[in-house]
Amino acid sequence: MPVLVLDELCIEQGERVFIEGPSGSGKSTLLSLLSGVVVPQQGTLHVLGQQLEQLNGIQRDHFRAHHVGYIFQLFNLIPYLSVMDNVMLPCRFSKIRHVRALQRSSTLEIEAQRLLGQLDIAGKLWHFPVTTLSVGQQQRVAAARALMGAPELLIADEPTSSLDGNRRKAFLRLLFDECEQMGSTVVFVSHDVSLEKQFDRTIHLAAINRASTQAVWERS
Amino acid sequence: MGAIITVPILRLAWKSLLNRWVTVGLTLFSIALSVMLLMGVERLRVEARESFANTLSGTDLIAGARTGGVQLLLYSVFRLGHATNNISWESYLDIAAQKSVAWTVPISLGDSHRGYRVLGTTAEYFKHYRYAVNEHLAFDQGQSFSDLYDAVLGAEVAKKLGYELGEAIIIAHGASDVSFARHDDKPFKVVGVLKRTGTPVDRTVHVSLEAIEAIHIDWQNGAPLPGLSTSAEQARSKDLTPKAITAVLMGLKSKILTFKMQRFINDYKEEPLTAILPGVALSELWSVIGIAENALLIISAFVVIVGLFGMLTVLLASLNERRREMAILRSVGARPGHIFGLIMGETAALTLGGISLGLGLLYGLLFIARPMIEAHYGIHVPIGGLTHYELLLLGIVMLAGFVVGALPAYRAYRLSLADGLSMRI
Amino acid sequence: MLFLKSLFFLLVSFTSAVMASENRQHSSHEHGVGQLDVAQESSEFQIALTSPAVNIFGFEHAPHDQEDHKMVEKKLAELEKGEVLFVFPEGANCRLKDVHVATSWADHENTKTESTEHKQAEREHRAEHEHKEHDEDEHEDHEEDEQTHADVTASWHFACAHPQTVDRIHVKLFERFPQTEHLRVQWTTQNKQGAVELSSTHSVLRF
Repeated sequence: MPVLVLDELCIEQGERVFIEGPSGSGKSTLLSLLSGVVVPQQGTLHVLGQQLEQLNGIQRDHFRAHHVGYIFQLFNLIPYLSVMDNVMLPCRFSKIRHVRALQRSSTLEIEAQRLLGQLDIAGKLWHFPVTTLSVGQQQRVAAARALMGAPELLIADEPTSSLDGNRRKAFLRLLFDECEQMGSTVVFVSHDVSLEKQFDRTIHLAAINRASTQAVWERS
Repeated sequence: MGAIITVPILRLAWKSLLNRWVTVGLTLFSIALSVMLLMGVERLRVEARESFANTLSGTDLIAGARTGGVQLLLYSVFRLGHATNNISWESYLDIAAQKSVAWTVPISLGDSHRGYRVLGTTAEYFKHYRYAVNEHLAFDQGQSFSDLYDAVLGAEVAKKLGYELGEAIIIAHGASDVSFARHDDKPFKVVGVLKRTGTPVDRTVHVSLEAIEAIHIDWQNGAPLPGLSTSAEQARSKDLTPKAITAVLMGLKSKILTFKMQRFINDYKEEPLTAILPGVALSELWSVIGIAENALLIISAFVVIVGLFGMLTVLLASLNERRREMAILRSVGARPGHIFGLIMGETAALTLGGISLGLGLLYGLLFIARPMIEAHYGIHVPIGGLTHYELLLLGIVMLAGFVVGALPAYRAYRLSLADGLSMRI
Repeated sequence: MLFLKSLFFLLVSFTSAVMASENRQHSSHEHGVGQLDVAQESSEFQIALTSPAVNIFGFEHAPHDQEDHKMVEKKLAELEKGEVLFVFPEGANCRLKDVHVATSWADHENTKTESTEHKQAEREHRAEHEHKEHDEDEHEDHEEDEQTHADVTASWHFACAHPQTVDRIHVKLFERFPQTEHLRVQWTTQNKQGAVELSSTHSVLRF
């Protein structure tokens, strides 16, 4: 029983897309597809010119490591690593991102510090254990990590749901500024429609997912 | 790719362990203790054998009254236990006169001095007794006994009791030093102190056979006969030929004759006797003690397994709370293999750390216990490196640790495959 | 330490009790089990076997028919092949110099002696000795001659060019005389002694 059935969904490079939908509308399945964790049972999936369903698990892991920045809803950070180590983590698993980070700054540390600075994390926090940070700070550190090494695709899975209204806006602004500089595509999932104005486009997933309409139909 | 990936994974494993230092520390310590126990038992086993084997060399046969071979060895050489019977002096002379016999050293045990055994013997003892690999006894001070009431001390007796040459000592009857059973009418003079040997000789007071006879002149059944008192000087004029001895150490003219001579003594018609090859009796002793030793070794091996299972429990229990961590790692591009490597890395660090700490504890303990063992048993415990067998044991522990660790690692691997990037909290 | 000491004493007393019960291996006559004594003096190795006759011939009664005698002849001949029964390390260059085989029924001797005079003397001595033992035996169990235990004694004398390289002897008695299950071995070399139990699966004597 498929949970997500799409005729077609196209997101342009550099686009900032807001994906909206109630729970069960297939949001997390879409994100899993885009990040290469799962492949479609039918049809094709092109991300950044790669046909993901033709790659094996390890190749897709490499694809994710090289090209995708991912921000979770909560608890984004490895508890036993410092703020800096968390931010530099993607470069440990991807040579491409390592190289790209070094194109921007002379060392990984400086690039990480630059991103943290951009995301408004004070210098004194950089070497703190991540558990001492507030939720908002943690989410900004997670954003810095997702942006490290300038991945082409930034996926955010309701990263602002634990923040209050003002902080949400500030967080998005910082995130967008940085993505614009890097030319990254942003796929942002949320059920908070108040944010959609800040995006280029909104996709109402429930409306285009034929599986979910079926399910809704079956339920009613 | 290999290098850039394995190094960060090991770094991650290390930092993850540091983060959980209390549980990790306790796990490490329990592995260390179990490894220390295992290695300690192994050491003890080998050292005990070594020191027993080094106690006597160059003696072809030991003869005593009819008894178990091991028992004869233990009381005549190691001063453990007591002889139940003696050899008559006549039998001794008969044995000593056999053609194949090169030398004999008669010994007589039974008395003590402040907890140390007194051994009656002849001057031949200092000439023929050998230990380790053909080491002869040597005098640190003074010389062998020449007068009736002369005594030669083992190194430790002299050191512990602070005796100097010329000092007078009183011998007690039997093994316990109680005031009513002392030969205090016939004091001995210390005329020699032997060099340290690391054998029971160090804890022995040596006197002549005639002296043993002399101090027992007025004694019967372990007590002085009432009304009789032969003074030390009077005793000199009496016939001091021993009536019986405890055992006799002997060397043969050719080793080929050993078994013939052994048979001769075992079949001796006049008196029931036993002759043993000390090395053979020692092998027999080990073959029985070996059972207990193996039991000890098996028990300590089980303790190691328990220690490793402790590690398994800790790792498995932590996995559920770490699923979030695994998802984060997967989101930044870690493959399931990395997750496996992360847990294996932690296992390896724990096992290796446990082994190192255990060895450290063992050597520390040996260092502290060494002077005590030497003082109590006269056994010198060398602190050497690891033997091949010990390395093999450690290798097995290491391997067992890896096998045990593979279980949670595999589980983490499966979980990370199933969970993907989904956060299960 | 006190604990260790008590433990040790416990072991020792246990051991002594066990050992005391089976101390005199020489006089024991246990089917399947033989006693082997190995002694070395410089270049000479003397190996002596004492074994119940059944281990060697398959029976203990004195041979009475043609078949029995044939079997005895055959087995005795095999016993005399010391270089086949005891394999020394190759480099040691050991040669069998002299064999002596005897049963409690009769004295059988090999002919490969180097000094016949010496051998002759020993033969006489041996015969005399054997005779005496026989007398005693007969006194004891005259009627039940058939049930009497019989023993085989054999001794082999080897001389080695490089005795220092002899760190082991491969004992092949188990292959030739399959009814021999165990050999209790006592050995003494220039500076070591030991005891070991050999069997068909552990048939190498190591010094």
